[in-house]
Amino acid sequence: MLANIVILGGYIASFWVVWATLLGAALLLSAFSNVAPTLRNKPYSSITSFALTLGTVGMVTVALFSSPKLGLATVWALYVLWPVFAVLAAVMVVSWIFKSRLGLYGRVFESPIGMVGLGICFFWIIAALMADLLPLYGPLEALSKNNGTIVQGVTRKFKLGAEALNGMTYAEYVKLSLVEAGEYGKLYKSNIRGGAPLMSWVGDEGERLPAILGTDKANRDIFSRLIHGARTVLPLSIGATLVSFTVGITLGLIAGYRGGWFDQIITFVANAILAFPVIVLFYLIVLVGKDGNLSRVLATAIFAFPLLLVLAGLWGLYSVKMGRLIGILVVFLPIALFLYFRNTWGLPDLSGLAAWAASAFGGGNSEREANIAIAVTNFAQMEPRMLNVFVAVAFSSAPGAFRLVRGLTLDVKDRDYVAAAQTRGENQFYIMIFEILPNVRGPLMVDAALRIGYTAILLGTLGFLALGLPQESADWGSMIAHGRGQLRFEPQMAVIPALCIVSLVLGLNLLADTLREQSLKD
Amino acid sequence: MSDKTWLGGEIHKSVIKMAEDAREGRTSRREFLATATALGVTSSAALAMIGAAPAALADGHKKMGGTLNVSMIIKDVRDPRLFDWSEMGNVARHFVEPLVRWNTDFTFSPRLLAGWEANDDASVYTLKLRDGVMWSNGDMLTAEHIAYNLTRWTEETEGNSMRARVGTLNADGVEIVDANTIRLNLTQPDITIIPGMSDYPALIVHPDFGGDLKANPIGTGPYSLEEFEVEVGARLVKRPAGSWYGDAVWGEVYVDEIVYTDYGNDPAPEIAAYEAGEVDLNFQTAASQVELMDDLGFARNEVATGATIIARGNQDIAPFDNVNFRRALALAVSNEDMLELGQAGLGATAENHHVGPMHEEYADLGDMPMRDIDAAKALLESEGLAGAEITYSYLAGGDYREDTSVAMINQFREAGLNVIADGRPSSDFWGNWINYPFSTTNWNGRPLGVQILNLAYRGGVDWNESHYNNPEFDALLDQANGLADPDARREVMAKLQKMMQDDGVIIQPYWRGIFSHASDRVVGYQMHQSFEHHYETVSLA
Amino acid sequence: MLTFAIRKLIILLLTLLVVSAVVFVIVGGNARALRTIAVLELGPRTPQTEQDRYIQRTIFHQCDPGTGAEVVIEAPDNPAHPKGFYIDPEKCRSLSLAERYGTWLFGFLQGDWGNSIVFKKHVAGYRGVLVDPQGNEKPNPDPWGVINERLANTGMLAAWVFGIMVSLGLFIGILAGMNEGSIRDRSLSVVAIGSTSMPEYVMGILLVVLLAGNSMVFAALGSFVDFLPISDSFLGADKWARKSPLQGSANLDKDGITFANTVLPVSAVIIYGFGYIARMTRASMAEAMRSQYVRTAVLKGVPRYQVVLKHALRNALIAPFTVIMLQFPYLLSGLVVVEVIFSWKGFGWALNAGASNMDYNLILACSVVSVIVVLLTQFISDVGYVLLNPRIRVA
Repeated sequence: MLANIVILGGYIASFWVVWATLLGAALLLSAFSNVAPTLRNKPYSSITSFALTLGTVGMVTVALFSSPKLGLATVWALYVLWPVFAVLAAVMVVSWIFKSRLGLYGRVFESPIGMVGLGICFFWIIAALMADLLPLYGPLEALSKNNGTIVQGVTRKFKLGAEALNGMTYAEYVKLSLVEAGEYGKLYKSNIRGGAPLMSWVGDEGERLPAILGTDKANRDIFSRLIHGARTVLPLSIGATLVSFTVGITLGLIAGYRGGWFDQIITFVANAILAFPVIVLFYLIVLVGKDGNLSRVLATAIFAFPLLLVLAGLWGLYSVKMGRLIGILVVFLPIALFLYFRNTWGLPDLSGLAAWAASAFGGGNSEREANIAIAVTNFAQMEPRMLNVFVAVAFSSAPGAFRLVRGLTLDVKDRDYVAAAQTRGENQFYIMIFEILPNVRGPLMVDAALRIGYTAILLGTLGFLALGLPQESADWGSMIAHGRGQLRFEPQMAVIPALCIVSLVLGLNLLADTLREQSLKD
Repeated sequence: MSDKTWLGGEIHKSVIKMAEDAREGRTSRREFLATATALGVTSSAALAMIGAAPAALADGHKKMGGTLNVSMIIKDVRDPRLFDWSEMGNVARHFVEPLVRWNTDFTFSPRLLAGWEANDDASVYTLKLRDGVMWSNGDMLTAEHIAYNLTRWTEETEGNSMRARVGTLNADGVEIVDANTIRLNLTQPDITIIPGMSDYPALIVHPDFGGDLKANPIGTGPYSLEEFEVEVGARLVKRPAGSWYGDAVWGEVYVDEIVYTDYGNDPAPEIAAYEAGEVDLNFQTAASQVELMDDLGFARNEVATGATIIARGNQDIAPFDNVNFRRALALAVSNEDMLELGQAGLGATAENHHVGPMHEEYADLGDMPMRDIDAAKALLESEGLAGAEITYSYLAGGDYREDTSVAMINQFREAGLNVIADGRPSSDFWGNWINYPFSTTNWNGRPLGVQILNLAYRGGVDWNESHYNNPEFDALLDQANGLADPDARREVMAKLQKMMQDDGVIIQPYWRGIFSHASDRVVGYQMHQSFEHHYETVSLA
Repeated sequence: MLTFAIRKLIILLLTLLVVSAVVFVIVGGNARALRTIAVLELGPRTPQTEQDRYIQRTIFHQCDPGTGAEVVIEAPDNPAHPKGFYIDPEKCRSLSLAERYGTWLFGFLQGDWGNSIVFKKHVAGYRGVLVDPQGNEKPNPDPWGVINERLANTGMLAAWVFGIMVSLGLFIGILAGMNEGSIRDRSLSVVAIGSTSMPEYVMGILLVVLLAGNSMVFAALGSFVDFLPISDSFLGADKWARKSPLQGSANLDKDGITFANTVLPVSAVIIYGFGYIARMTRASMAEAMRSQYVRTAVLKGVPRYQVVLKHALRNALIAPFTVIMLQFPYLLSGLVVVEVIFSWKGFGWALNAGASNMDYNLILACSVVSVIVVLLTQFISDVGYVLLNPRIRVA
């Protein structure tokens, strides 16, 4: 079945002259529509868009299927990810239907570019959420004889379709490479080796997933790692951006609203951090702080801001209703403080509890006991190296958020509604958080979307320089760094994770652009 | 016979017995050549003793002149005795020379010496200087200069690695006999003293060099150091015709200029430079890049060595103090897989005891350690250590050390262990390498098997990273050290090797081959087993 | 104006003081960082006692010059510390962190920025007198320091990047902003957004795979040439088509800047950077085109190109000017990744080598240079903003 799809794709691809002509004609038509207004009218405009669509689809097919292995990989990837695409389609359709009721989010659907951006972002979010449900390998799972998979393959150079064809017809070539894939499986049954080429078969067809994009140097499936990688990249970049925004919002609101010496000091510190070379900052936090307390000290400071912001908000709302405030705090504070101290100083120490839980629920099985103990010990706690990176990234992007919020606050603080709230005698925290903040949310959201993308790039840089994240982590930056040595044999090892970063950032940038445009329409 | 030893004396007694062993295949010929020449026998005589013809010198079509471009990391060349990287020695060796050279055929031949002689129990050595050697500043090389260097080697200075290499020599033992002769009175018999003098930090400096070679590059070599910058590059230029003593002794060197360029640790820029024609030779080609470099059309050079990688648990720390746990770890790992994944199959599997067929005293135990994951799991379960958490530290530099470690971590995980992978960059890794709970380390080859065991597995020694402390093992090792005859030593070695395996001291997956590549301009290059660069025979087409 | 400049200067000095103090405390007070330095100086497998002794002698103590190593004596006879050492309090003075920082700062102010541990030479040019181990004085034979040389290399790269990136960004931004909402605007905006999504390390890798050495594109070209019915001797076909003229690594000391080794790194940075400038220019150009005076000019019948060049452009360039000035600091530290990929031995490359080895003198110097460049460009951008925009005055 798969083979037929690939051969079909190949036949479509072999008509590349047709698709190229179509695409060229469509582009010419749209170019001339500037000069000749008649071309913008009905029959011509439909022809143009039809030719544009068909030509683009055709050329993409050419690009993918000119090499049968790449074609096979594409088909497999679509097959494996179909639940993700299904959920994505459902989300997009539902949002489209209710777009008029969804405020700013709904208005994104008025722009095709915005929809593309949103689609890409949703794709990665859904893929990250569903990664465990898909028939993938684990991110650290090495393919070997022992887990029922057979990995074959000698490192072979990835060849362009044109070069490999070498006088054969396309169908012959496809048949050959399909047979080749099967033959390798038998030939190298007893031999495991890293760096299997694109689309190598693993086990009998249908049993387990083939290594769609080959394996990396440690024989882990690259495709599975890419999807699992979204689980590292997305939470880290979104989380770090959110935390840096809470820092920026808390300090920026106060500095902008109150001004004075506080403003001067914080602005000075923010400028000093911004003037400092980012790379050195990372080296200092990540290398020096690895076992030391530097990242913990920073975490203590940075993670305090979300807490302070919520407390200030509660104080602003309920400063006159003390009973209610105390009621909320009794519930909120223990949980918040628990999370806060778990992720800064690792307190309270749960190892005693872990030992008890292991003996109580382990049932005498030492492997199970060990797993329970580890799960309890690490409960609600970020892995130390993850914490390093989180703190480093949040710390370096907080000054930017601070400057933005401070500027916006200065802009807004003399408006009538602020003055009105002041004359009403509202608490100043109430004014900052419930009057000023909601009114600057537009630019903040745009900046947040851009900054998440920037953070993803930064994480990639960290992985690329082998800083911080656990060395075997499946994040895309580390994968680029690991695959870089094999660039000449197996370019997909480094190139495809790189394209993942690009796609995520592109999605976020398109989204931010649309959000900016739509919020300007107000 | 005057051509049997460098100084025309008699052949050392033990060499005759060893030649017999080598002829009958009981010891390796390579080891025989090393030991025999270390005791003062000429390499041609040593070859003749085991019935091999000396290799004919390939003259070929050699042209004078040209610039040889070499890719290599450039580290500081301040004081040879402080050198800790072969790369440092490679830059320096072109203008300061050693007393003795270890050749690519594994023999030792005199360089600044005319020859040497050992007494019967190898505790007194007589060194004869070569006549007419002149420093680049016009001074003649004298015995005082050599004594100055030998004394410096014995000094206690931070980072002086020669002290360990000439451990049996102290300053009082250096005796100047006449202007051309020096006698070394060792504290105990030692056949490794001459090999020690051929190592990369053992370069002879002029007493006026002022502690900084790159500032005062006074030397005896065929080249002079013109430019030097750490992490960037070095340029060496041939000394003017007739000014080098060696023209008459060794023949004139071919290449006019040697340019070293530092392309960093990452192989990609180096390969790019090869493709651009900027590089003719490299220091070493990573195993993962060998095939690519072959495909790009560069000539592969390879040497089989005793270089290896080991994984060890620190026996002072739980759970590695448990012998069954260590054995289970060894059972969980397939050495063949490690060789495939870590070194692209370019090497030979090893047997977890750090002695190999390249050592003359190697005992073939017959049974290769095999992976048995069920046995490993059962052993872990019986000790109550199933799912135990271990932190595995390794050097994450993208080379075989990282690849092997990650592959081994994966196999540990398959055995149900909970492994925390602790990859560290080089700047971070070496600060504490002795004390990690579990880690992989690379070891360079040593001529003798006992050398390694003494260095790394005797209780309490500096480099004992496994913290193995077994009095029985140490006693047997003492016994082996006293046995000059390889056959007698082999019987003890069999016990030692078995003990290493049974105690699960290390997991030693493979012996690695080392590689380098040359462009088609280069004629007459052969890779050296310890990465030394000798370019006297190299010319450019 | 003068008070403004003086105030900025005071802020600059204060920032330098704070930043250097913080870096000094973080690196100089951290046992792990100091051990990294000891390993670098003494070699990877040096026993830990030797490392500790080195750290004590050279960093935590100031010993009489000339007595040097002898001041620190091994204590082999001491049964309590069989491998330990002690430091002779008569000859060595223990230094606190504050004292060490003071020493560094004093030297720094005098122009002695210290030695780089990685590069084994002065961090910045030092023209003072050197004292060798024997106590002889002589002038420094190598007066150029690490920073000076590396900044020169980065300067060349940055000049190319900057020239092309700014002109490309402005050009595309102006083209797009001229007709807001047109197809041309839309497509150029998407190009600009796409370009800001491709970080330098991605572009660096892609460019190397596609265009450098025996790369994919040129391999395909080669097979295409094989396919053509011309003999190999014609044009030396097999030679020129298979191998790219572009290089994936730069050997600056040998070749200097050449077309072959500069194209790829420069493109990698430009592709990431120009989109941002283009988008800023587009926004401000679009705003200018909507303004009253442009509409008036159009209504008066002034030709379109004159409207754009004379009226709109001048006002539209004020905002991008600030953005462009703020790209300078990015170039200084943002080139790190590109310089590492292409082994371009510039400031970023040195910064990476220094930072990864905790070479504190070099880190301090790089931070200082970076802070100066950032604050200086901020100052220029402030002043320039005022000069371009007569409505605003410096406070």
